Amino acid sequence: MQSDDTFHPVVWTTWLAAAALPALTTRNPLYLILVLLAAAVDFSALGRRSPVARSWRALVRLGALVWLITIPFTALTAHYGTLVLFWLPAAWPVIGGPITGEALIYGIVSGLSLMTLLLVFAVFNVAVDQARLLRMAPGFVYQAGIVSAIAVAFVPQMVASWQEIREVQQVRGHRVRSIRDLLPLIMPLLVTALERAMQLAESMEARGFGGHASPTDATVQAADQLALLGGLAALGVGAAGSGFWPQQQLLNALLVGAGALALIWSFWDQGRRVKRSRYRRWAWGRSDRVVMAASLVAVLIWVIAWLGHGEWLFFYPYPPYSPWPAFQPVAGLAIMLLAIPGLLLRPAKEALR
Amino acid sequence: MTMRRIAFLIGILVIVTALGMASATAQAPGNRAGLVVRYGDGSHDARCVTFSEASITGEELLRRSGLNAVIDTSSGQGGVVCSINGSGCAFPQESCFCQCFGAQCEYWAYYHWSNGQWEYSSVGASLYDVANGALEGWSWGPGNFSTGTEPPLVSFDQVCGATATPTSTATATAIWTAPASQQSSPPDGTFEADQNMLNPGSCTVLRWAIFNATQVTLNGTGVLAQDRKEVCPATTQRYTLSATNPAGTFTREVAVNVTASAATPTVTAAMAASTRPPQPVQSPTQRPAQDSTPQADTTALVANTPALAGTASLLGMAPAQATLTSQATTNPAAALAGAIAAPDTLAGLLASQPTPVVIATAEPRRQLDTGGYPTPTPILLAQVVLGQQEEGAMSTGPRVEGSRDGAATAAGSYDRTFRPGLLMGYAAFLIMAAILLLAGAWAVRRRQAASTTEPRK
Repeated sequence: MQSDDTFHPVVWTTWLAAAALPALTTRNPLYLILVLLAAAVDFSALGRRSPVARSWRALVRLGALVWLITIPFTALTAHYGTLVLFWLPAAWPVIGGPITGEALIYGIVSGLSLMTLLLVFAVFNVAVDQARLLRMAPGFVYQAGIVSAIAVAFVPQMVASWQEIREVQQVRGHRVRSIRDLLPLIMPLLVTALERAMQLAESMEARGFGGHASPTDATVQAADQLALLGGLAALGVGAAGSGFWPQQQLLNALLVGAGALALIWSFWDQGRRVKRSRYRRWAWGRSDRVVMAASLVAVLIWVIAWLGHGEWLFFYPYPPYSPWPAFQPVAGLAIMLLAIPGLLLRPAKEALR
Repeated sequence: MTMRRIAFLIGILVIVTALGMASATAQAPGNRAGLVVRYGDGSHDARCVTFSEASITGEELLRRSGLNAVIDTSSGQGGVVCSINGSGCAFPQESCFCQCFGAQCEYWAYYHWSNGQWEYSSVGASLYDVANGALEGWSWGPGNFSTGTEPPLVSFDQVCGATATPTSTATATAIWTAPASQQSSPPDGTFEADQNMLNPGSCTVLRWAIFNATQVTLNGTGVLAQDRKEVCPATTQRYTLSATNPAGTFTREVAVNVTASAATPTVTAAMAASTRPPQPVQSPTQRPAQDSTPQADTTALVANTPALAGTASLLGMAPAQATLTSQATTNPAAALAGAIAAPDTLAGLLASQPTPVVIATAEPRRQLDTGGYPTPTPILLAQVVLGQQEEGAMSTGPRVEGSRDGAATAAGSYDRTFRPGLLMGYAAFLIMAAILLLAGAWAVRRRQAASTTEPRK
């Protein structure tokens, strides 16, 4: 299946990694603004195509509101820094004292990084719907995939049937006066919601979602489960050990490595036995490849900048560091690559008109 | 009903504000508070901060002291001190508690001086009110959520001076602990090394806690009453801790055996501090102290400087230099007596050690100026700033050299002003942002055009 209004889910996942990486690794407002603008280009190109997209639009608006509230909050409560804008009487609780430019900058920047992440994830969620994401789940988690699909569908369906049941009961003259009167509403709600979820799971199974694990003998299954348990335990002990016994670095590293290996083997062995059928396969188009390559280049440049030139991305307005953010055009170009999906997307039919 | 409630709230607000104004106006111009900072390597700073408000927060006190503190305010519940003058964690490149590994944790602990001792602060520095006459302590060292490493024992008068006359020049005062009321009995305490057997090249930590002393020396170098010090002796080394007060002397010796792998033991300086070149004497105005409060007029004094190498070693004491000392002449004898009184370690050491026991002086001896006298009490780092500025920036005098090993690098090297070199980057940023805005506008227009022209299905 080739789509002209969105890209392959793998492409979008790569784009998500490329866009979330700058938003997570830097506090420099200039880079964050560029990421925000690039994500906004993609977001406006996607348009509103589903009820999910509409709800994300509202969420982005709410995020902007929260950002505007956090700025004065941080600026008024953190009395630290040398760029004193003005003084409030020291006797005023919490907000009394010097109001500094550094605190203002810090409030703007911390809200900006949150806002950027929110918009990046909004683009991803609007572009890729959950059914498509579920197809990407690896074979060995097919059961978990079905369970999560049911869970995701459960709440919206329950809200819808709650409204239906209330209407029906109101028509019958039912009124809610006490807690006991809720029973005629709750019982049918639970029954219908469970019924619908079961129906959904069965229909997904029938349509080839998930998969089917070929049967094996009990010893292999026991070995899989043992490897899973042992791997998780070794991973946990190794991770905790690096904190509690920092002098035993070698032992901790060995534990973490062994645990990761056991987990990978267990997953691979379980996934090997799952045969999956696909109803319609995704085809890779030209724009898919272009966006994929752009995202990979952006990730590469950013990782090099992050690991090699940490001072490029570093920003912290409070003393003794400088409140003036620096800007490297190379890192900025890497961010501009993130806007390419928005330019390549063909306009879609608006779903809700 | 609601109107009455709103009026009530407004009334409370007005009363609170009026009370705040009243307390703000009833402020004394010359309030002072002391600040004592103990760094990770055992050196210290002491500052006196003058403020005009009735009280300031502990964080504000640290900020006004002129010490270069990095404070993490991102938690939203007040600031957390990450480093002071470069000692500590380089937040935000690394975590503010970068030395915390599970149970063991090194961090900046906050203390209040109350009733003659340091009291671990139960609240953060930004929530604690520092009033006139308060003495606050910051200390980097191992601890946990309820304890830390205590700052050096000082009193407010030693930090801020007994009289309230502010001087224009920065004066230095030796930090010394001398609670006069407790000197009827000789000093007492503990002195031990973490490991008594070492391989060549490895290190151990000496720990001591001395109470009730006016003067404590480790191998002749003045040290704090309660402290620790890492030593990396190349050869077997003895460390002598000597504490005196008018009522008597306390001496304890610890031997650190180094398992000799080389055939010829070489005499090397044992203390880590001695790898530094000896500090030149700044001024010849050091006088023998006549009373218990030593004084010195130098603007910058250096911690760990061997002001006096009096009891430097048991065997290597030069008689000529010993006669120069006025008060410390009693100390070698005391040290000898202590060694004889505690012969188990010494005799055991001599019996078990086939290689010749080499005892090095802890610090290279200082050449005395002609006519100059060594100060009888060891001088520790202290810099008391009695500022004339009312509040805000308390710029200090000359920076204390050697007080922080290489710590000055991290703190002062950031240029916080606007540099013209940034302009190129900003221009590039503006161009990129403009391109992205244009792209966004184009995408929106294309989408709108498509939705209007395309036939509905």
